[in-house]
Amino acid sequence: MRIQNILLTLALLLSSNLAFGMHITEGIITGYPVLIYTLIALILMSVGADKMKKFAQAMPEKKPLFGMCAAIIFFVSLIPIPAFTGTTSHPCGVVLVAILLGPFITVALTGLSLLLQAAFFAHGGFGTWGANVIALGLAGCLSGWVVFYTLRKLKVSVFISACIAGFIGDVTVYASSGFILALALSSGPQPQYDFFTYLGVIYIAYLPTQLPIAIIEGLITGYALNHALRQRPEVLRSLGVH
Amino acid sequence: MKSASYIVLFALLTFSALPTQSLSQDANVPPAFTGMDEGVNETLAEEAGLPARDPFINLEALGEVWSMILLLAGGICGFILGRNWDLLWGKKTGSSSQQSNPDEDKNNL
Repeated sequence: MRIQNILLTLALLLSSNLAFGMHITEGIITGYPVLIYTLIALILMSVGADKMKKFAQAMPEKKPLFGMCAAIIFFVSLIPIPAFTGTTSHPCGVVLVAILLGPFITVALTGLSLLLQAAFFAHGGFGTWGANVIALGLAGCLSGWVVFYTLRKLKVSVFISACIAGFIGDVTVYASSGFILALALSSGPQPQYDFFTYLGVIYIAYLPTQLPIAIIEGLITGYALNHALRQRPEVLRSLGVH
Repeated sequence: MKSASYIVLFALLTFSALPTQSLSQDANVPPAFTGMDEGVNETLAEEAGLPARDPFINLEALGEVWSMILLLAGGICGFILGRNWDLLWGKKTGSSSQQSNPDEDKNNL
């Protein structure tokens, strides 16, 4: 694909509104869970930052990948994709980055993206930042990364492995986001249902919108990685993608 | 030179999208597609006594400034992605059987 096409696509996408999907809005999580989620997210981010530092020392010529991958996460997690259910949601983009840079560096980049989104884009919030980092960063990255390398060990092709990893990663993000939300709601001031009923309600509501998006994300992840492997095998090899 | 022309092209396209963004938003008409967090998360949270709060920095309430910020962010992301596209998806540089050479990688990047 030529650069003009990419720039054109981005410009066109930006002429629409923001997508609000898995991000838990400010005010929904309150009290001590905010501290717990934030603390976990900060620990994960510090591990990620440490790994970034080591990566940059070992491969200084590949430092621009950080900016590029952060831009992918930031941008992809804002794209509104309308579903036939009348709602919009967004893909995650973290699995592709996790395969390229590893899960912890991806968590750090996700944390930065979510911080910017919470600060300037009314997307998530400072109080829910930690929960969103755990859902989008940790759960999505780790699941996608584990699935990709497990399938590669089983000699499944790069394209199929990345497709399945992208799909699983996207679904896991929404599953964990729904889990965190159900936990918050069932312990709220006026809970309407118990935890498991909330979980069921949220998953049933997410499913019709998110499932097609997860399939699309899987296919795009597969294509992007396969194309990179065809075009720049030496770069992917040096990143440890095999 | 070629990169510069791509950047100019993208800037023109981005700014040409600005009026479209403004006209497409009418405060009196509810949006046809609401976000899943608004349709699901916030509805359930409000029933559970956990209403969503306005963000601390509410740029959305500043009207056209919001559109500008969105376009600016998209422009920056587009620029970073376009500028570094060759890192991963550039033209082929050799066969996959070649051994990785850091110097070669550096030149390729």
